Amino acid sequence: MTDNKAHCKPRPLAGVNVYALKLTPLEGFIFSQLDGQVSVEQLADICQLPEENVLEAIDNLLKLKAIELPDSDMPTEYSRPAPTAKTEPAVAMAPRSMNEQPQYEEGIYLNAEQQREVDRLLALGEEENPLLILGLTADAAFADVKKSYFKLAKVYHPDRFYGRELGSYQEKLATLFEMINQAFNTLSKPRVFELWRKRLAENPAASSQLKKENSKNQLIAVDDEPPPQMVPSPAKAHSSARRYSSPISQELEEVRQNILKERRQRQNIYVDRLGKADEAMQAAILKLRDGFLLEPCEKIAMICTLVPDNPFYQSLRADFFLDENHPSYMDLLQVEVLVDSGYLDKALAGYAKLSKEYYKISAFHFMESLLLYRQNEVVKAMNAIDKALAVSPEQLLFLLHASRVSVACKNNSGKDYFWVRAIALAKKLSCDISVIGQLLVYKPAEQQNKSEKQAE
Amino acid sequence: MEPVIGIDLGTTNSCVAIMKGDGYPKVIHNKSGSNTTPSMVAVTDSGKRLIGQLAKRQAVVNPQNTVYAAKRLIGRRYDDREVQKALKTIPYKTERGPHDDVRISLRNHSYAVPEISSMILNGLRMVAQDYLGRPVTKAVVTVPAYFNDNQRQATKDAGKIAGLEVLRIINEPTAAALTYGFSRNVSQKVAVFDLGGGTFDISILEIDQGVFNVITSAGDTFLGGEDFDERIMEWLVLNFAKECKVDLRTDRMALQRLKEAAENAKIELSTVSEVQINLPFIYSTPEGETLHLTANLSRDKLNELGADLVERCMHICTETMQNAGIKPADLDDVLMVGGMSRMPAIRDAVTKCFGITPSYTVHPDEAVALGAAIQGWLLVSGNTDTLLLDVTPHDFGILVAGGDFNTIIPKDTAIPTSARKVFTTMRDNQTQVRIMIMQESSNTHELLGEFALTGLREAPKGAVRIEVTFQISADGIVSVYARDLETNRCQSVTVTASSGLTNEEIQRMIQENTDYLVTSEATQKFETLHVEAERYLRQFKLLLPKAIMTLRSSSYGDDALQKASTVVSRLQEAIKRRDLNELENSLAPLKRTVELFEKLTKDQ
Repeated sequence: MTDNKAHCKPRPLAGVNVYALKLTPLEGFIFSQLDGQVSVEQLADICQLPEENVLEAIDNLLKLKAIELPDSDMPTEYSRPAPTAKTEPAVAMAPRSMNEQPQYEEGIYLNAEQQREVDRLLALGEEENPLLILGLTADAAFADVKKSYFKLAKVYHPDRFYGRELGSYQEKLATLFEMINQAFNTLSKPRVFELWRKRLAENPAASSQLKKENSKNQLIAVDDEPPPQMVPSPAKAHSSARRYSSPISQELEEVRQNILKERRQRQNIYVDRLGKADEAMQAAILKLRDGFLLEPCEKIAMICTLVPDNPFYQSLRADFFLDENHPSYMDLLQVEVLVDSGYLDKALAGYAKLSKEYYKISAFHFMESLLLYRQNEVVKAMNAIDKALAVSPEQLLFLLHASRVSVACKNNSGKDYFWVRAIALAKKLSCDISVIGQLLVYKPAEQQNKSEKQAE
Repeated sequence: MEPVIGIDLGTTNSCVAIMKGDGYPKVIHNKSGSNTTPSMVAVTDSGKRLIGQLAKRQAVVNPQNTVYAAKRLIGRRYDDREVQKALKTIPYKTERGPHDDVRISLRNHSYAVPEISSMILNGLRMVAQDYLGRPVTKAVVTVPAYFNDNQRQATKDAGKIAGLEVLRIINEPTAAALTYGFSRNVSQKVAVFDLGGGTFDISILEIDQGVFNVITSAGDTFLGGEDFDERIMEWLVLNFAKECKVDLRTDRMALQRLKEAAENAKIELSTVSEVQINLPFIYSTPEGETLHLTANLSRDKLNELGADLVERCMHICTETMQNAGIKPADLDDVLMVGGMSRMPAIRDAVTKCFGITPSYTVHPDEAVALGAAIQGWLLVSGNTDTLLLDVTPHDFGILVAGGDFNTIIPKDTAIPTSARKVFTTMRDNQTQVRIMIMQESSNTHELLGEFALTGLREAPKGAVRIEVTFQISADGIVSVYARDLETNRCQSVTVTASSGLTNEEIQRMIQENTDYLVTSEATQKFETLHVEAERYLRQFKLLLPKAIMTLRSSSYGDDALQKASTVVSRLQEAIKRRDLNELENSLAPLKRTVELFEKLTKDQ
């Protein structure tokens, strides 16, 4: 069993009668999102819901045989060392994973051992600490970066494999070298290197993943520790190692771990970007000026740089903050950073303040509502989305959310109303089938017959 | 192992090299015995293509149909400032091509610039084939490090048209460094100063453990020896105008002669301090008076004429070092590459700029081709000791709202590489975005290509997320993908340059090129047989009177004579109609007749 399920994309099975399934609204929503394109990891983000809920829903859907997980040994997937083998040292693992995966490609330029090495490096992942990709430890010196980059380049540069028969490794090797290059580019500045090195020193879990792990519980404990940098982990709220009774609980546990890992990796990127805060700052200003939304890392960079004696601060004030008709970007940014970093309560207060001050901007109400819903404050969420809809009644996204909230509200007054409005709007906008599908899942029971007709 | 040749496709001169069995690269000399071949192509009255030295020799009498410095035009748009500047001084005719590219018109046939380059590549391939005695189909071709994506792509196309599989496009300075450090176990930081006929490059590399790692590259693709030649030409024209009140620029043949004289003078001034330029009969006035040009050019005057060009090179050098955070003291050596690096003024300036007396370790004309040959060998031989790691010399990115440039892959990123960034829409309900792929070099932006990602969800601005991925291959060629993160709808483009050739066009050109190879071979065969036939005809005519005397007495004489005259007339007819088959068929009977006549007259 491999833990790459988080990357695989569950797809609905053909011929399933959705109405016979007796799904909860949440399961319905998740079901409507599954199209064989969305991975489990992405799903948690799309839903903006706590992971437990998502995982339980997937668990249920699997039990109901409504969806399937694609085979784990698909050619495009790369296998990672099995976490079940964690009780054994890594050396002993090697022959075992050979037995488990006898499908090494033969007749290509790489032998089985080399193939395994490529897979191992690839499994470290693009967003893992770049030191690990270059095979460095926490006590590495800056000069070692170049040395080991050269060493790796000599092995994995595409020139080495020119015109060779590589099978599926053709693509893998290309990705791998790009990864190595990126790791080198990242670490080629001493300051950034130092940041990453410290991270590795403080949090050796990632590096020891393949070597030292003795038990699974230990791994989880490390995983759930907040990363040592300034960004607190949003995963903290769900730290207890849950046990699932279903047979696939093990898999789900792995999926969950992957999600946590991905979060951590994302934070690693923020740290990396902070190394280039000035650069990000300039890019962010340009983006803001063009009306683009900012990436989280850019927001953080901005906040960090927004101290009064920073020259950027002055120019930003001149550009944005003195505009009467504009929401205060500074506040907005702070709130969004709070969301990104998991301080939901503070973020909520921020949105409340924003939506009070800029009552004409419906998005603030919407965001507030989303957050409230995430914290199971459904009634307050309903109120907030009501306000948002008062300003932008034609927002399909808001309507969808409204019907979702109203279902959760157990207060039946709103739900038909929002649902009917949403489906009418969806028709008007001639939305594609996935949106209609979402609506169908939300529909209240008594509307079933009607909706079937409409779906036809 | 099939041989892989290394080709330095230069602006004025090209060079070809091969890796020999003993592990050392060697330059292959051409038929006229020189190691470099002029990058010139001409088409003669009879439609014959001339390449290299042959083309150069006839340039003065056939200026309209002789192409030189095609590299300055390759992969560029017709409206580029550089192209327009170049068009003012070139004697051959150009026109705007269907993709806004430059087309060169020779004898009423329009050629794309890669086609012209392909002829030179083909010529070099022939040189290698003659040397090796076996067909050559694989090559590594070099381009200036500062060449942009369009120019690289066009060079690759040229190889394709010439029927060569271009294994890799590598940068000239990198190739030179490879020649310098190959199989010498050194650990150094070197700068490569490459000033060729048309382009200038500066690269700083680090050589360690057999890895050639480029730290930074910069340059100017429109700065080279040709510019110095032009300065001398301008000076000559100006002096002549002052003296004789005649503008020589109106006369294409005079221009060609001036260009040649200027180039020679410049070369000579590297070794002597003054030259005399003599161009007799350069112009005849309408009144029938012939004018001669004589001028004395000193090295100081040349330095004065080209001072700003040298200044430009040095400015790029200092800027590059500054940007990469490299001090002259860090460098172990400066390699001088390209013919222009022989100019004393350049050597002095380099010494001053880098604080190092430039090295003579590599041959300025041959190092690049040798490096290309080494790289070709590295690719196919499975050698694991040496490796080239190059960087991209430009910033790549896309245009965002407001016309601002948003960098996705910054300059000096090691290639191959890929990078992605997420963008979003800027208007409500925007259903498509235009992705404008740009390249930034020294604060000017160049459009490499564009495409549209359509079918976006109607949503408020900023809600749709679009991921743009840039990928740069080991050849330095850029591909771009854009993906709607919601629908996974994907659009991609390998930037085939808005000024480039389409696949069909390349196929057609490959076809035409092979056609030409076949006909050219036929012509050559005909010429050989023709010469032979003429020899036999002469002999036949010599022997005929005696043979008639002898044959008259014999019974079969009349018959034989009759037959002989039929053969001769058939042969003459074949020559007249240039009919190869007929010529072949009738030559054998003529040979027999002549032999018979010889025997008869000897017997007598």
